[in-house]
Amino acid sequence: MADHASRRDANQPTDDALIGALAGRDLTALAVLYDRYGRVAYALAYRILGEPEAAEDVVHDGFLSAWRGAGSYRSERGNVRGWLLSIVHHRAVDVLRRKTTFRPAPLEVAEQRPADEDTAEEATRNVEHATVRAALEALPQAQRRTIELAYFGGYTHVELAEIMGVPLGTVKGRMRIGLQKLRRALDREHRVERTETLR
Amino acid sequence: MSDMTHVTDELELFALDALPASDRARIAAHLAECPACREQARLLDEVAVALPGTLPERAVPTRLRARILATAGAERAVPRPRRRTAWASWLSPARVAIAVLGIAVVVLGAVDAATMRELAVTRAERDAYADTAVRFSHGGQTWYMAGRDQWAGSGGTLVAPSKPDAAAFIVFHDLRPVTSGAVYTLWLVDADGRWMRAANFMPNGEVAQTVTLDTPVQGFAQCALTIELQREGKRAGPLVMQSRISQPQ
Repeated sequence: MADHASRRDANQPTDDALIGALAGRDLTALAVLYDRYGRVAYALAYRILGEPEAAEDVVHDGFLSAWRGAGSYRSERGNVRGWLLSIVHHRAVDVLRRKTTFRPAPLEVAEQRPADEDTAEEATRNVEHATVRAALEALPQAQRRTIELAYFGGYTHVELAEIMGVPLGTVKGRMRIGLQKLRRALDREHRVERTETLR
Repeated sequence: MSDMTHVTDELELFALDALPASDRARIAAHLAECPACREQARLLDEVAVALPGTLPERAVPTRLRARILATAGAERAVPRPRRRTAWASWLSPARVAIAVLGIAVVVLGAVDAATMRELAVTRAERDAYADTAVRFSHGGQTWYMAGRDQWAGSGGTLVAPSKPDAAAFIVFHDLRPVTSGAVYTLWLVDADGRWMRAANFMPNGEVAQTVTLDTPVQGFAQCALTIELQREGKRAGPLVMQSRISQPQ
């Protein structure tokens, strides 16, 4: 997947260089990394938790975790953005699950819970990931619901099977096919990017 | 590897964090050992971490950046334990004892003084960051000031703690050096436009710097940072950053 850094000014340090500096306990590198990914990390944590204070704590802890564990980052396993967002996502889901030990609820309630006051206007501001958004919206509703409720709602596959009233295998199948379609959309986008770069 | 049970059936669940903690740990342990599953997991992770890009932008609390840097700064100031090098392991305790006795009388005083000075500086730096992190955790009102003109990129978060006896403070970030003889001056400005000097300070060269105000911010309408050549008197220097201070109703 194309790293955001690849589209950045050549004078700016790459994400990998920042992680190297982070391992050397360079606070400036941490500040630059936060400036790059703090906003999306906060949006993710807020979407999962729905509370500004809890989202702030999760992002704080996530960046501190990156600060402490920069030496464990391996670029061959994914880019820096993905690594950071995975940390934040996992922490946010962990906080959510600790707060709500038993959560299966009617599907309508489950679908409303992770939603916030998003508007179409707000959503269109973020054009960078239009491809993923379009691909997600193009999925059959059942696949999209399953992926969104798992990723943004923090539901386990067992909980999803219960609230959606389908077998576990169906939940897994919807996730697999949905993610495959998203993967293909991303691959197409990257092929286009590469073609445009070659022109 | 041939007798290993692959986990491909669960990798979508893993990528979306849709597994309970115990299953997640089991998958993670397998991935650490299995390159084939790890590559599959990496491809799925790429899709999963693209999902946050579908979210709308959201205003991030301005204090969060300073809070992260303050906590990290506090940790940085704690010295890491030194690693034992290969040549060090060659040294037997007896050899070390003889060597130490031989040189201790000559250099102990100087080394000890230098080490103690370094330790004192480190402790002071750590304590300052830790103090800031604790003060942030108490909550309160915050206002962010962004650097203007050639100071763009600098900024500061003014914090008025909710604890009545706690002094207000500002966590600046990325402050530029000032010319010789000049200082940064922090001002509080009342509703009638009167400027009151709240603090003079020099940038410390760190990414984050905490400055405590001697004066409560209540009753003031704005705060501002300028660069001044005089340490007292009226404002004369250029405006670096400024913010309104809205008081709770």
